[in-house]
Amino acid sequence: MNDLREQLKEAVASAFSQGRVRSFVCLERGFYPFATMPAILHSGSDADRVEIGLADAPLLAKYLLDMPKPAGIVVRSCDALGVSRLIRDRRVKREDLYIISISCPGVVDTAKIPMSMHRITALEKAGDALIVHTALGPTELPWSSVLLDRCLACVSGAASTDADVVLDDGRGKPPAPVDYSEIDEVEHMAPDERYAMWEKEFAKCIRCFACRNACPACSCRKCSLDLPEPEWLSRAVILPEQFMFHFTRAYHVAGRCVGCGECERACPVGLPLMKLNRKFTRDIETLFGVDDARIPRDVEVLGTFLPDDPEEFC
Amino acid sequence: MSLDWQPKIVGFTCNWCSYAGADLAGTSRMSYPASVRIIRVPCSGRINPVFVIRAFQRGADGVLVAGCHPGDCHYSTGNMYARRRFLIARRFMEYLGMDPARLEIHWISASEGQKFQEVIKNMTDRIHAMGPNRKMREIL
Repeated sequence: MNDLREQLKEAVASAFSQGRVRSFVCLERGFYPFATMPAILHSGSDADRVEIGLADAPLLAKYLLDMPKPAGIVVRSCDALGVSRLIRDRRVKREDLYIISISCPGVVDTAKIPMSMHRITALEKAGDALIVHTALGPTELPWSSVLLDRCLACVSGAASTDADVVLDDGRGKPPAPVDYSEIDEVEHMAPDERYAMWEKEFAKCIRCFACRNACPACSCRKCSLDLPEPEWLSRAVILPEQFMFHFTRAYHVAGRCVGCGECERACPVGLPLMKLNRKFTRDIETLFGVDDARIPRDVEVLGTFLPDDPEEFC
Repeated sequence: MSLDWQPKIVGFTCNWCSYAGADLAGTSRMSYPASVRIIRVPCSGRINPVFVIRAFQRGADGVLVAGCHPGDCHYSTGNMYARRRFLIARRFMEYLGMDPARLEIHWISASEGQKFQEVIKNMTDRIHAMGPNRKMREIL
């Protein structure tokens, strides 16, 4: 792990010294000693701050929008999909980017560690376990039980190859089998029960739009959710408007969602937003014969059609 | 529910086929329930699924989306995009707990006045039996 970090620091520093980038987005140490937060670097001398991000690492693709170009970015495979999304949405140009891809063993979700964040002094990955260091001594937890939800559905932990520098230490998480059982679960509920469940979930929503802001597929400069006229979404925080908001958001990213789960991670009230996005992903895969709809394509699934699409309307 | 309750159906019809089909039903003096409120749109490809949610929000008990038969679109392909869109949007509404029977999508050509009449009749009967929509609705 540390090797990878040293290599990464070097790669970032040389990107600046070769004049390839004007700014660089990466992770640095966060407020807790084991957590990381995004950092935008403006000179090679800052490269020492770069961290890999073992726990609670946010995704960085969205920061590219507002950075001075050419911009550098460190990506793991989920983030690489987000960058690819932005490129295909013509929000950034590939030639303006300097991409360093790293392999990723998965990212720890500190909320899944069954103890208070304040007691943890350090986290360490050792083989298939996470060692949680506290003042009372270390505790060992199975690695797969503490990963972020997005890592459990990981496309592949190996470093993405569409990059200027590929740093792969061979310890990337193997691809996870596609599992739609949580979608099935909701589908098997009775309609009223399902509606009651969403009502309960959406009632928690405070409409902070963190899900939209974090999403690499939601990058319009002008968003219909913000416009006072026409008023697609009123400011009233009432249930019908919550349905409107969540329908609009999920439908907007339908066929474009890269499955990174950053919306869910960013949500302050913990809505199961991926259950909405993945429903679309699965329907698109089964109805239109798309193989893994998370991978960005040059032609959008909903921006095209086939004459022999399923016909269930008459 | 009072005995004289009649469902409110919002019908989005495309200008070139379904609206003309509805017009034909009218000029041919075919009677159909007055439950439908027609909104004419240029093409079924113009209908954003969010329109449907908005209709339910503002008191519709059912929504009809109607366009030209696939292959007959005035703009060649608009209804093909609409078909893809509504295939997933309808499933998604069902996933959120809406009754999928409240949203119907039909291909009605300009010469199918009788089909329009039947669609509205059947839909009104079905929704009448289901009762008023309470889900996603702003004013109860």
